Amino acid sequence: MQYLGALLPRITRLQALVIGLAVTPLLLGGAGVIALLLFLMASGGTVTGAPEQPIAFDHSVHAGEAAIPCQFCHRGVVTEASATIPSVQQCMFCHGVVATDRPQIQLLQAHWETNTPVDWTRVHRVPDHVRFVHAPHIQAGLDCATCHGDVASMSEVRQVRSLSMGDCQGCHRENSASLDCATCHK
Amino acid sequence: MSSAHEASARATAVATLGETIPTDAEVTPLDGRRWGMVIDLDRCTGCQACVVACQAENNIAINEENRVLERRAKTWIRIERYWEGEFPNAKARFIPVLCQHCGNAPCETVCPVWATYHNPEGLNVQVYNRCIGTRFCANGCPYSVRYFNFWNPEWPEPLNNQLNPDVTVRTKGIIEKCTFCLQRINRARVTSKNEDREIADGEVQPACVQSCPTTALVFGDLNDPSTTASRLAESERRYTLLENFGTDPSVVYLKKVDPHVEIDHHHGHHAETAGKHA
Amino acid sequence: MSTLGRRRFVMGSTALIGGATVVACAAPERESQVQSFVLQPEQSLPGQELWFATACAHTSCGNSVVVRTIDGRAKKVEGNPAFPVNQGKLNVRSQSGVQSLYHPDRLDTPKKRRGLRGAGTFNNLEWATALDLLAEKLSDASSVTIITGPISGTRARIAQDFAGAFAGEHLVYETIESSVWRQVAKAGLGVDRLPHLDIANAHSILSFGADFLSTWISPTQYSIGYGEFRQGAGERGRLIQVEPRMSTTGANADSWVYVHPGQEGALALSIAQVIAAEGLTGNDNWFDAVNAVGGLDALNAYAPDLVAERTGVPASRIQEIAREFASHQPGLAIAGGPALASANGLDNGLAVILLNRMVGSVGRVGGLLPNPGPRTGITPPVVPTTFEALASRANAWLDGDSPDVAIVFDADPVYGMPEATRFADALGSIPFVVGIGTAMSETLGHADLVLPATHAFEEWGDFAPDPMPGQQVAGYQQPVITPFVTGRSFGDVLLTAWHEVKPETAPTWETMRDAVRAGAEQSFGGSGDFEARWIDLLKNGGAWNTAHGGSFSPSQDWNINLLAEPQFSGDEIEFPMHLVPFESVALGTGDESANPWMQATPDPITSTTWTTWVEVNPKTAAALGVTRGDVVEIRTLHGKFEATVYESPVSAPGIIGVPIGQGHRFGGRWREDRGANVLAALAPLTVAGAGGLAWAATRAAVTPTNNFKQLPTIEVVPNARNDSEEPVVQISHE
Repeated sequence: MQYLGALLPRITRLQALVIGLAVTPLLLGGAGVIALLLFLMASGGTVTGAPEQPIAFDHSVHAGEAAIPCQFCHRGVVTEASATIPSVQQCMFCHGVVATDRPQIQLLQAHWETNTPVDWTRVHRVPDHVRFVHAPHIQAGLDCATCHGDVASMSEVRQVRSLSMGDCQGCHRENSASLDCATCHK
Repeated sequence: MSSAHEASARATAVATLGETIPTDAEVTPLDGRRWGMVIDLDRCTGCQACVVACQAENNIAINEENRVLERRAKTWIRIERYWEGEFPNAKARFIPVLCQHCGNAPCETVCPVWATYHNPEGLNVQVYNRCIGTRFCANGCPYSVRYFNFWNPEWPEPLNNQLNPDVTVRTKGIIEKCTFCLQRINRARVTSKNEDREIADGEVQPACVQSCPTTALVFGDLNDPSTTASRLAESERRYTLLENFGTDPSVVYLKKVDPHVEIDHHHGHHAETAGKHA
Repeated sequence: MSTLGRRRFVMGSTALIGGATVVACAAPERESQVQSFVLQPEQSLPGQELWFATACAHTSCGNSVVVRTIDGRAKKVEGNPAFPVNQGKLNVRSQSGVQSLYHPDRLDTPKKRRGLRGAGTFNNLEWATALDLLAEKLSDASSVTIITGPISGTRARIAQDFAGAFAGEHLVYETIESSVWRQVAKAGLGVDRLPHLDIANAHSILSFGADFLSTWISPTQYSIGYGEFRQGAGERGRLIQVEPRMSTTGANADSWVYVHPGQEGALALSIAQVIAAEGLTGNDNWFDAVNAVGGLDALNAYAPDLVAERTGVPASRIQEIAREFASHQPGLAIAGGPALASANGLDNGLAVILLNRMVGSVGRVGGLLPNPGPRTGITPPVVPTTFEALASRANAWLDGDSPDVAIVFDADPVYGMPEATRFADALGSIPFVVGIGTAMSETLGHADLVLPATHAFEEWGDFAPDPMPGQQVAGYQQPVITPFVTGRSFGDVLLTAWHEVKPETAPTWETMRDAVRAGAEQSFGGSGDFEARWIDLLKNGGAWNTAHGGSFSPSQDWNINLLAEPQFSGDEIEFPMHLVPFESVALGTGDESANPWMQATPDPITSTTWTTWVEVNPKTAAALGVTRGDVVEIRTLHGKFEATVYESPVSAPGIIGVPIGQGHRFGGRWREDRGANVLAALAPLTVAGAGGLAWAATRAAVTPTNNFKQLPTIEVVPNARNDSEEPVVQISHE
């Protein structure tokens, strides 16, 4: 292919090194290097402790004691990619009158009054090259707890599954869902 | 689509990664779809609308002047222009060239880390986070439609507000290329599933197809005889690019019509070859 | 079917009431955080895509767009699928609207001049201070001139009425004028509006220099028709393009014919002579048309043998063109580009209209169709001020007869007017110049007060496409995001100042939104609640009907004289080359050249990006001793500039083609000090009888500079694919 030779200029030494690194194990049959590389790239999220939140929102009170359905607040989950964090306004529908004397609720009211968004700390996150869409999982009848654990009993929400590629695939395999890379990798 | 090389590459990957690599049996066709594009060269005017639409949709880095001079500009779809003859009988010919999503893709067999593969719907997929940048695939591609990221892309703020959240921003050291706007296909898949129906013909339009003012580009399922794309692909004017390489592209071109050119019927193509791109 | 039908089309006003709502939901910078809305707009969820219909970033392009927004940010611009002008399609420049919106060098604060005019040094001001200064200057002014780009609708109405209230005038500046084509329509067809070209239904098109697939008049609209023309349901149309420099449209023609600059009309009359002499038309009334130009005797003076040498087209070729055009009817003949930008451009245009009349294409499907005017209540597009009129204004200003204040918006005459007109100096003689825009331009660089405008995607408006697509169309514009910077729209600035300074004459509405809504109610109101109709107008991006309107009344008495040689600036000895400036598809006249996508978009013919090149025939280049990449100096009687040689096999000897759109001192990092401005070096020649700038009538001398610049093209080196036995572009006879 002379064409490509013409299109791409001569490679630099650094690039040669990178290519060399990739080629050498192939030649030597060194599957270990590949395994390492692939492992590094394939590894996804990890199970973590509960991060600190700007407002100590307690799921065990809302989802547990009050038994509010998840979708009441996470409105996007049925139709959208993102489950969505409720707006301050939605919190205020109740907390305009409920428990207004508690310090944490007053934090919330301060956001409402000053018209500033709440910077929640993310608990669940997939890498940028993954497109996770909630909707089809809910439509397929999966319970929120399948991935998120028993949130109704958590005071502070933490991640309970690794949500790594292998984790996703295991479930996809069990449920005969698509195993095509392009389904999730964007 | 299997070759000895491919099988061994997969075997290596499976050996090292275990179950995260799906087996052939698991990646069975979902519904026998083959996404493809038909490009009518008689409609194409070379106007570049597709080129800019693609840049906008797919977070393609700005092709600064130096990138162009170094021939490292990235254009997942580009309009190649070929000269024929000399003034006053000179002609310019245009052809949009993008990833051909070959059924028998030279790029797929040479990837040592399984970063590029053929998906059950006929897409040639590039898994960015798996790519280690050997550029073997780009060297193997006869269409020169795989682009290597020699630099991290930059969008001076606040230009980054325009970036499409559905498409990964590619970093230095990996190969990128046309995806047939995979994000749009996936959106349509989710939408249609939510509405409990099939994806309709014309529902998925890659950005280039969507913008094309003359409707030179048509996208659809080539395996479904009822789609506009598959109907057009049966045209008598059909050909595929560099057919003798046997790559089985999913992009079908319809020949430019020129009532004034002399056709060499013996060889099946016209006498003044439009093979030069400069 | 349209995919867009499934998208969430929404109307913006409810999402945007209370600016803080959407501002507060800015995409989180730190990925470890996720923000919650304070207020959840009713129609939107975080991460959800919403599509808003609005006007294209250049409302003068006549296109309506839909903008994809996510979390209050504009992501992608596409054509509005329902809008009859562009039917979901969009050209390159309109697509780059998101880049001018989020341009890092976008104006975000008012500025007051510090130092000399044109030096480009400014002090930042608060908005309140800037508006006070404007009000002070306006109240002291005895007359105020408004200069804008081509506008229509409420914006035009406010500009016109404002100029009236302040004893001034509204000038409309168009860099490459449509005014000659307008004048041709008026003199030849008896209409005040641009005609509709029914390209889709034509079986042949004979275009004299009109680059209608790329930049001429309404290219998106015409390209849609072209697709049908080529491979639609009917017979495949034939395109014959006649021009001195091969344009993108020329590159797509079945027959491309070189003609000497300014001789297009003589060639058209010669074709007419062949049609008459050989009886090629089946149109019974062709003789009436010929009589309008003085009968067959007059036409015979243009017989192919007599004009072959003058036009540069062999007599046999003229006959072929006539036969091919006449035998594929309905046929459409159009004139544009250099054909109308010669000193004799008006006569060239009328000669082309004659061809349409002879074959019966005036008022016929597949030919020229009359366009209806805008709906009652919508201000029609303001007819652009001709170059001649603007140049005479400049002279008057230089002589001290100037307004006290000029307000410039969306027009860059300092860039586009030839330096010979001394337009920058003329503007400098106006005591107070206000520039309103989203980014700096050459004209704003000469202003005393610069006000940051809202972007087209941040403001309210309405427009009447010009030309309409053969049916009555009204376009509406709404903000698709909350303004990203604290800009104010042109209309709002004028309304605020008007209410402040002359409340007694000011209109009742105080904002553009109110003005646009009031205008819409006047046009589309009627019985019942208007709110629902208003929301529909915004959701759909406008309203249209299928009614065709208007009629032609072709003149019966034309005085076309193309026997004389057209006038050029510069003699043949000192300036041996014809300089043909042109608009490349992305650079255009420089309007969007600040956007990196536009700089990086290859010119279709040469594949060049990021610079100013000059197209030279290879043999001419050899004679000059230059080759690809050599920097040459191009000198005219009125200026000089440098450009890089591109040896083009489609270039004619004696012609040099130079793209417009580069050579800016202002406008941000991607376009400043890049390439050269060919317009500045043009002779201030006008098109006789039409007043337009004869921008293709300047001769030039080319001299090497001994400098070299590698051309940033995307072409692959020669012979790249010669290995292949198969041609890359394959050709079929039919």
